[in-house]
Amino acid sequence: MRSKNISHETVFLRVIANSIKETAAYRVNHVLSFLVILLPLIFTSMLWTAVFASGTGMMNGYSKSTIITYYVLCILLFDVLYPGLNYSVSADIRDGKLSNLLIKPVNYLTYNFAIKVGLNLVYLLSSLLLACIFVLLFIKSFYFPPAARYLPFLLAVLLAFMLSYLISFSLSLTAFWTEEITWLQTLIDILVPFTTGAIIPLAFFPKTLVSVIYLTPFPYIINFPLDVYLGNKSGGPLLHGFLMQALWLGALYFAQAGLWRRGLKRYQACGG
Amino acid sequence: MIHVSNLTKIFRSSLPGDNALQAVQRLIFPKYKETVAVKDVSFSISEGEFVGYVGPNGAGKTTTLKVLSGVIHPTSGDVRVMGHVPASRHPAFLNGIAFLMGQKSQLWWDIPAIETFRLNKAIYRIPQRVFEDRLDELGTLLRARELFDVPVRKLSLGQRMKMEIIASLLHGPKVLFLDEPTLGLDLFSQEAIREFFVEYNRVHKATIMLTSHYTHDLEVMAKRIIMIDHGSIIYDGDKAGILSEFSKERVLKLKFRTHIPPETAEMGTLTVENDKECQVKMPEKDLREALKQLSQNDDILEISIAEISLEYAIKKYLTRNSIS
Repeated sequence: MRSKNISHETVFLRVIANSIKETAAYRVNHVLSFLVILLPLIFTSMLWTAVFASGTGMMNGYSKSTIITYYVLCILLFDVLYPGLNYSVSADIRDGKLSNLLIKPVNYLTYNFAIKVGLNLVYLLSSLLLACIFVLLFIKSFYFPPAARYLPFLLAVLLAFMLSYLISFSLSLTAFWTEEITWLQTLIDILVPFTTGAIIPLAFFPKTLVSVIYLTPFPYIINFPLDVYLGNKSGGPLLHGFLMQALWLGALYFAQAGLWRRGLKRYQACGG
Repeated sequence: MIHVSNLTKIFRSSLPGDNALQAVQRLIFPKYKETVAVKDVSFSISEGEFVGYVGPNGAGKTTTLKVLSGVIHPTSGDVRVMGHVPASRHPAFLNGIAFLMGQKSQLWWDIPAIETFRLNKAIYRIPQRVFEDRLDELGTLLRARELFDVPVRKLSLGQRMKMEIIASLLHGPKVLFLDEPTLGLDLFSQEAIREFFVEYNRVHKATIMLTSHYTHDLEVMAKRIIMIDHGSIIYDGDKAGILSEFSKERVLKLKFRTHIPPETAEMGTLTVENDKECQVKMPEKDLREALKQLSQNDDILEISIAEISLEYAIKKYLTRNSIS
């Protein structure tokens, strides 16, 4: 049993390593993608500076500094945390490339997760690193929390990352049933930016709407980790948030396992 | 080693509408088209057998291999490989098989093949020494050792196929499903791969099922032939069996000095190659009479009696079967 665990770890690390090497083959693209997040960074900090210039000290519990920090972090983490469709999963299913993994003693969920981790590590070390330097140099009102808050923040981001992965993985398994899944991406693009708090912090929404949104896993993907960073969640609410993240992880894990089992029975291994 | 009884696989695919209105309608009330890929197929293969699985495109060969390797679930029927139900994907089963898909790459595209090999080493838990030895052996045999460190996307089709073969065999599988393993390879590599699989089969007592459109592959490698057409098995037996069914026929290759005389058409089935050369196919019993006749013809330049090839026999078998 023990040796089994060790071996699984090395498979996991090997896939991460391969994924990094493969992604790193397109280095220039990653440096360029830094420019994609640069403009929103400048724009939102200008926008909120203008909003707060007209007088108000606090807005729905956010100050000028914390709201700018909220958006900066949101822009930085958006690509990593956004639960969009996982196109490598749906393509594997649709084009039959999944067959090559089905004949091996590997777990597709963790295999594909490792690929995603590798991709994000490259992103973190290229465009995100550049963006962080930019933020430190030019966004003066960026807020730094007390040291004790970094660890809970990192934990919340990690759980959010896994949550987001499980959502996109489960949704992508739809490819077992239908070839047409772009409508799903459209649906995600309509719902997710609002419900995760990526467009505007959920505190700005009407109370009843927020309580409905908090019944879904989405607020725990972006809004919650950022609240942890900003200190908007501490003590009981903080623990409650972590608990909800864990519960959703468990629920989604069972959901994807069921979908996977049923989907495999329909898998056609197209082509060749 | 492999037991298949009454295997049937039906693929169901939803039909898109002919127009926009129908498309919306089908979205809510889907209509399905059923395709029977494999129909009530049964066979058994014992340990160490080398079987050629033959049939025209779309006959159900690859579908059978996909079911046997656990990639797809059968619609009905009982399938056992090494005592396991393939679709359950038991680790002991997966560790013991290889499925070489000529048209589907398992290699990581932008990085060297050695990275895929190392990943497979971790997946199958291959000890370092064994890994190095096998890599050495396979690399030398396929004359491909210097390709290990080249990004896969820079390899030619044949070079990539060699990498696929190596990646599939590193864990020393006991049951091999080979789907078009020589596709796109040059003659030397084809030869090397044939020899390799024959040797692998002999030394490791590995059970091998092979599909190939190159009849020469079957001639060299397979001892037994299973032929499938329209999802059903139409022949199952040794290679010699197919040949002997047609050994009562002979093909005469003829070359004339000036022109092909009209009486050749009466000897049997005439295939004209150009105005001086032709082939005549006839029952064995008519051969003597035909030769006698031809020897009296002053215009004759060359006569040779061709052997019935496996390719000819298989083609003949398939056409005869689809007519009846």
